[in-house]
Formats: sequence, structure tokens, C-alpha cells
Amino acid sequence: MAVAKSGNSKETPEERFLKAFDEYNDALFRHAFLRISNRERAIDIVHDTYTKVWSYIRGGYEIDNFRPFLYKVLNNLIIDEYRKRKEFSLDALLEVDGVDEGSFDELNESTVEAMAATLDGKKAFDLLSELPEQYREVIIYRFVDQLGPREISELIEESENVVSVRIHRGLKMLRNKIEAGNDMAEFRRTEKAKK
Amino acid sequence: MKKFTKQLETKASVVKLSALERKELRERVVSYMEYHPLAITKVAPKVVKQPLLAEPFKVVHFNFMKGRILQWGGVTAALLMVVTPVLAERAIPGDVLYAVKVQINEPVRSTLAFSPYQKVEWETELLNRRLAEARVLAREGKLNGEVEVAIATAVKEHSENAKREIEELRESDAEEAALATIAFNTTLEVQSASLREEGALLATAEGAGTVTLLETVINETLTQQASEESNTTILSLERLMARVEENTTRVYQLLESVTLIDAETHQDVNRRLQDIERTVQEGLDLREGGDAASAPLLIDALERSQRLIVFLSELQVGQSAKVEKYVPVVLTPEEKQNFIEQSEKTLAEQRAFITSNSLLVTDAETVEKMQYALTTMASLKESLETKATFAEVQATYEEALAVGRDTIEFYRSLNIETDSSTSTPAIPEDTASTTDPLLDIDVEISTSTQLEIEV
Repeated sequence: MAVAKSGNSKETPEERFLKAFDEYNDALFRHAFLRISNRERAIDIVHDTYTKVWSYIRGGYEIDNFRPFLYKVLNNLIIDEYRKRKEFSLDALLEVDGVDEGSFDELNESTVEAMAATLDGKKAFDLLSELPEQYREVIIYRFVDQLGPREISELIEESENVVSVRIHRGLKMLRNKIEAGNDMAEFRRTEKAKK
Repeated sequence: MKKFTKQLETKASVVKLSALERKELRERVVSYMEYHPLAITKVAPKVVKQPLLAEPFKVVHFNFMKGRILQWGGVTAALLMVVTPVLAERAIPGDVLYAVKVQINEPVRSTLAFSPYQKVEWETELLNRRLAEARVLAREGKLNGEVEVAIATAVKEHSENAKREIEELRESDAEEAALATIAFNTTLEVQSASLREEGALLATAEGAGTVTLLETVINETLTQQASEESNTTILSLERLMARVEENTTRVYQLLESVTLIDAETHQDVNRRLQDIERTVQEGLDLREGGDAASAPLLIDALERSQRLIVFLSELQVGQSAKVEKYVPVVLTPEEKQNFIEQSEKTLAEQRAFITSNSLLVTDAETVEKMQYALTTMASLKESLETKATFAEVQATYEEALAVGRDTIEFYRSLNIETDSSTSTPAIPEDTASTTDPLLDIDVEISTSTQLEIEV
């Protein structure tokens, strides 16, 4: 997470806002696209994010650091988007209910790193869309947007523990999927060889 | 972990907006911002409307509604920018448009005065304008104490500005400063003279002593100027010429622009312009005698042209006056010759009349008086030889003629039967010589004082 930039008093609010646009539009779009897998909608959501933030500024809010604020708004908009697509929201609700506090392993950041080290990043990226929403969300935040567990917990309004557990489990799922993929490839190769 | 993150990042970095998408998105956001601009949170400092000038001047506030100003924008702009200033030019204190004249027209015009000389000129012009306004007000009986004080203050300010400019000019260009001083002083003299005259005129009428304050201010400045004028700079003819030229050009311009000018005044002004040109020519003819010889003539021409400018400026504000008061006619050589001849003739007739009729008078006192008149006339005629300028000659002739006229009138009032040869110039010029012995008696007595006692 970037250190909070103190606003340059010489800049007008408009200038600061446009600077934030230029700085974060790609990252926000990437995040939105990975979450909802729809390019057009992702662009719209980024647009809505900026217009919403602008409305806050117009309302008299002084935004010291744009990045977390933009992510927060973006996250809310993505959740709204899920609600529109009912199948997602139901899944999410069910999953959220079933989240436990997690084991020691799952809460330990070093084990997350250890596990991540064993994974193929390229394959993991391709498999992201197959993860359930709440895991995909944290994985994207953690590894694409490079946010820390605390920032993620603030964004999705869950405890840091929950975030850590989800990241851990998400990675585990990815690993299983990668292995399954590998197994599948292996299976196909052997099948081919048999023929 | 590093490897994983890096691999994931490289993959993820492919996911991004295309340049076109980014551009479009930015445009959408920017246009949203434009349609939803930030509310102006800071309350704009309230502009305190205060009268721009002291009490006697009215300040007009135009309150246009926003819609109206757009709707009638063109008309309003034309009205404000063209019609109003033009109308305002002739405004006098108390008029609605006077504020426009003083606050807008004149400051705008003053920006056109670049050189220090032009600045002096402009300040002088402003001074003239104020005084002319005062006169118009006085004539209309609207000049009360308050207005007069305001005008006097303005006059003082303008004259001080002019003086300051002259001082500044003196440091850089003494000659130019001298020229400016001439122009400025001439104006002051003219104004002072006409104010004095008017003061006398008004003293007899109702508004007694109304212009006295202004007169005091002007005279004050004039005396100050006179004391400072001691350092005389020798002026080059070229510059004097140039200045006269400029002034006459200005006179022509004014003559064009003043609409309320009657044919007679027009003719009179043209006559004065011709006079000036002649004087300049005379000055140039004298050039061989050195600059010193011709400079006074040119300075005279300059002063006269300045007076004409003052006169025309007055006309511009509706002041009616005779040119003669400002710039007396200068006679051409032929006219001068004519005048001398005519005067000689009349003088001879008068003397013939007096001489012949004095013989019929028995009363000793009357005879003495008539003899004395003859003597005075003769001595005046004699003194003509010593007069250097035509103006002096003219004055002498006029004096002599006046003496003659008065004596004749006195004689007629006695109801003595006049000699039949009243107007015959029977006794020609040489009779003058016969009175010569008489002349010697009073030779040391100043003619003018004698005349005053006598007439």
C-alpha cells in the first residue's frame, strides 16, 4: 500500500482528481475485469467509480489518499453488480455464512507465501475465474492489486483473519485446480500414448 | 512466492484498457465533471459599492438581470460602450452621465497620453474642462458652494498633476518642459482673466462671488508658476514650430468636432489661425537674425494657438464666448497700414475741429481745456516714433483718438454754435507743427496719467 500522499495545496481539486484517474484507471479496470469477467461492464464500473468519487468531492469530502477510496467504491459497485446477477449473490451469501475462524496454518502469512511459491503464477491466473467469488476477490486484491491483508479486510469489511483464511484457501483451491489440470494433461497424454 | 506473484502480475498486466478505451473513459469522466462542477464553496467577497466621487457627482448603478443582459447583450453593450460615452462628453456636474465622463471617458482618454508633454497637455485640457463646466453651471445658476469646492479640488488636482509632469519633464528634456510651461501658463492666464471678468459680471447679478474660489485657485497656481519660471530655457525654432503646428492641428480638429459653432465664430477662429500662420512666417523671416530674434514671435504664436484651444474647449461644453476675448485679431501689414492712415485722417479732422472751434470760445477755462487736448494729442502723435511694436502704436492712436472724441463731445455739450467747417480738414497736417511749442511745456508729464485726470 502506498504511503498516503498529502495533497498538494496548490493543485485544484479537479487537477488532483484527474491525476488520480490517470494513475489508477488501469489497476481499477484490471480488478473489475478479473472480478466480473466482462470487459464492457468493467469499464462502466470504473467510470461509475470515478463519478461516484467525484460526487463525494463535490459534497465537500476532502480525499487525502485516492487509492483506498477508489478501491472501496469499486468494491461496492462490484458487489452491486453481483447482486444484479443473482446466481453470484446467493453463492456468496452461502459461502460467507460457512466461513470459520480458520486454523493456525491458514492464518500464518509465511505458510501462504510458502504455498504460493509452489504455484505456477501463469496457470493460477487462468484459473482465477474458476474460484468462488469470495476467494477470487481476496486473491486478486492480494496478488494482482498487491494490497496487504489489513487493507483487504477494510475493503471487504471482514476481519483480517477471514481475509487470511480466504487467501490461504483460495491458493489451496488454485493448487488443487492446477494439479487437477496437470493430472488431466497427464491423463490425456497417457491416453494418447495408449492409442 | 516472488515467482508466483511475478508470474501472476505479468499475466494480469495484459489485462488493461486499450488506449482508445482509456481515452473514451477519461472523456466520459471529464464531461461528468464538467456537468457536475464543484460548488463554489468560498463566498465571493462582497463588492462594496461606494460612490466614486464626492457628493455632488451622481453615481449610476446599472442593475441588469442576468437573463436580460444576455437577451439584450448586444444592445446593452452598444449602449454602454458607444452611445453613453459619446453622450457623456457634454455632461456637466449634476448630470446623470457626468460620472461616465469623469470616471470612464477621461481615464480611457488619458491612457492615450504617452509622452510627458501629452500628459501635461491632457491635464491642462482636463483643467479647462472643469472650469468650462463651472462656467456653464454658474450661468445656469446651479453653481453652489459644494459643487464649486468639488470643481476647485479637481482643478487643483489637475494643475498639480500638470506641474508634476512638467517637473519630471524638466529633468529629462528642459526644452520640452519650457514648451509645456508656456502652454500651461497661457491656459492659466486665459482662465484667470475670464474668471475675473465673470466674477465682476456675476457680482452685479444675483450669484455674487460664485467663481471667486476658482479664481483664487487659478491665481494661486499662476503666481507659483510665475515664480518658478525664472529659469528660462532657450527654445529651438524647430521645436517651437512643431509645437505651433501641433496646436493649430488641434484647433482644426476641435473646429471640426464642435458642432454648435456658428458661422461667425467659425470665421473668427479661421482668422485667428491665419494670424498665427502669419506670425510664424514673420518669425521665420527673421531667422537670419538668429533664433533669439524670431523665438518671441513664435512663442507668441504658440500662446495664441493655446488660447484658441482653450476657447474651443469651452465651446465644446456649451460655453458661448467671443473669440476676441481670448485671442485678439492680429492685423495684416495692409490692415495695419490702413489703420494708421485712417487714424491719422480722423485725428487730423478732430484737431482741425478743435483748433477752429477753440477760437469761438470765450470762456478761458474751456479754451485751456481745448488747448490741453490738442497738446496731448500732439504729444501722443509725437511719441509714436518711439513705439517699437504695432500694438503700442495702435494703443497710442486709440488714446489720441479718444482724447479728441471726448473733447469734441465736451465742446458740443456746451451748446456753442459750432463752426461750419467742423469736419473739414482745412487745416492740414502741418498745423501739428504749429502746436509744437505747446508740446514742450508738458513734455515730462506722463501722458497716460494726464489723460486719466482729464477724461
